[in-house]
Amino acid sequence: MSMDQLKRDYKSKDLQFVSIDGSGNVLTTDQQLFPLTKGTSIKDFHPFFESIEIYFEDHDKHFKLECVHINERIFDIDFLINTDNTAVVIFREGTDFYNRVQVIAQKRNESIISQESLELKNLILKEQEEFKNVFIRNFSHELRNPLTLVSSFSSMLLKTELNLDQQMLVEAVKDQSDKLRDILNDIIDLSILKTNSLSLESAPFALDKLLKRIHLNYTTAIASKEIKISLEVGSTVPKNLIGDKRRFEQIITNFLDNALRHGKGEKLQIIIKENQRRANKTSLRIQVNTNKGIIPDLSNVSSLEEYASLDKGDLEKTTGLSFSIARELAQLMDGKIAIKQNEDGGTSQIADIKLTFPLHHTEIEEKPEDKTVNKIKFSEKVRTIIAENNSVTQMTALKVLVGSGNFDTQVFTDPKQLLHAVENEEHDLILMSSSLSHMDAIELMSLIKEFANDHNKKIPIIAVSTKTLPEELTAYRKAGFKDVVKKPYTDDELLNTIYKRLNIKKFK
Amino acid sequence: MVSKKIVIVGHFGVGKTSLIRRFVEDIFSEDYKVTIGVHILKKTVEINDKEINLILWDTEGTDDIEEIRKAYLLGTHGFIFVCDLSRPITYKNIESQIDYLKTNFNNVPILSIGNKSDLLPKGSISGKKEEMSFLDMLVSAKEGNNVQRLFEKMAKMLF
Repeated sequence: MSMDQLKRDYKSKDLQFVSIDGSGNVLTTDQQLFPLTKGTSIKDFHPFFESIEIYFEDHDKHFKLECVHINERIFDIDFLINTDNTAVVIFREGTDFYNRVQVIAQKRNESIISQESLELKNLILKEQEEFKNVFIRNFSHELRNPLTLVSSFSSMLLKTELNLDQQMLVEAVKDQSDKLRDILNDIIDLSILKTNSLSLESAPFALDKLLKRIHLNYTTAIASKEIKISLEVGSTVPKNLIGDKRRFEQIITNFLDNALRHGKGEKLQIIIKENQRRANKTSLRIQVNTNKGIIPDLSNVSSLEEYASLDKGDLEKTTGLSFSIARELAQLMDGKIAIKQNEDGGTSQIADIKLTFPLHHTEIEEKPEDKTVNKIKFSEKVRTIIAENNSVTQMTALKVLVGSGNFDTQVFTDPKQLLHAVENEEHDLILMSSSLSHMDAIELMSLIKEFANDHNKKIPIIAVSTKTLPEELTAYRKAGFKDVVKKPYTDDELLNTIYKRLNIKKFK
Repeated sequence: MVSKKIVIVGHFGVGKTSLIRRFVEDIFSEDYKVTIGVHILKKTVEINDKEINLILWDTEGTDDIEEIRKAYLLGTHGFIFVCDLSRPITYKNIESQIDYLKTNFNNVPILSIGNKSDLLPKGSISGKKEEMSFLDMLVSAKEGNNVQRLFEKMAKMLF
């Protein structure tokens, strides 16, 4: 075979040339790729050619159609329209090439779809989590008003003359309402932590004094139970730290509450030691040990997850809330927590956290805790406005204030009447709920500032609210509220806040 | 007999090929096989006692309709824009895609449809229909729901 012949054969190996007339009838053809018969219509060969007329009608005279599947094979097809209304159709076989392209495209598309699917699932999970957190927050807010009444009234009742039976019953009510309040606060804390909306404060605090106070508080609180609490602080642990004192304390108290709730032993140990330090950074270990019982099966991680999770919505598991909160807080402090079973049958709750400490030691004074001022008696009554729609909390505030004998109260449920009163009468104090007849307290505050007479412009206004998120408290203070009493409150908490914000000398 | 060219377009993986196979051959495969280039199938339907050949061009999936080879779209009588109800990205830009087709193809009939309605939770289809009001029809190539109706509707629009 000559070289020219070979070249021709190789050039035309994957090609077929077909000429057709304007109706699609085959005029000439080779049989290189598939058999076509002269005189037959190319439209009958494959549906691809059914609309062949359009190529004759268009002003372009050369059309290229790549990657057309015809009878299990793949072709690039060229249409060349001649001036005599005939056309040449050139088929170029590309089956092998396009099959390789297909494999690559398959991998690419599958990977993209799988990625999209993961992103979508992630988004759905986030939405579910957000819904759960909002639901929990709203649900716990709804519980705050009735709980305020139970907490305050049981506390007030305990201060009256009761026989032994009555005292026991009221103490039980008070005890349970306190527990319910703690759970509510834990739920709110956890929902804030889960949405990453909590930021830690950073201020110096005296660790040694804090630990002594915690130890004293718990020792006093469980004096009736036969449990001994010991405190051991490592010699290298800094006396002062820089960080969020309240949240640091919360980790320890949550561990202690957890241990007291589940422990069956008679010994509780609080151990604080230093893991390591570098420059002004220290890694501290907080460890709370019980000598018997506590915490369910901890032999595997999943049960720990289950224990510390609210996800199943099972209220029985809310006992794990405090541990969950401690875990989230430890993570915020660049640390982690663990629960370990000890050889003596007890359990250790451990948090390793990182904090900074001041390089030069200075004495940091702890602010004394607010003392109950229940026995304060004024010679002049405090003219007080209670702006509150909710009848339950209205009654609670009324009873607490009137019960103290120091207040003359006026209740308002209508913002218009409230504004009229601050404009035309003189008062000494306003307690305002988070909203009044759908008008937000902050909005109402700006109207009070505008309408109040000169005397009332200077009086303290205290918010009494279920809104207790850090950003909500900041908003109240920015708006001009002197303080915020968080619902649910006890009678002492309400009175303490009021006395703190009033010019007491004026009424004595 | 009259022949009408219908081009099926849309994002990849939305089920264009499955839709045509369900309509033409009444079969469905769970396996996803990427289409490259174009497959052409034919089915004859009867509309108002007249037979009509639907020439169905199954194009490869693209993020943007402008990426489709122009020569494929020459002489198109109707478009079916398919999206996947379970993948928002496949209908995110549907309005601009439909506008492009309307502008460049002389207002040929267009049906936009949401495939994979079988993936929607039971009882949620009417709600989804309201939510996806920009779609003309919800279909399922897997279960065959509305597939016949879709192509018959298109055929009627062509007469």
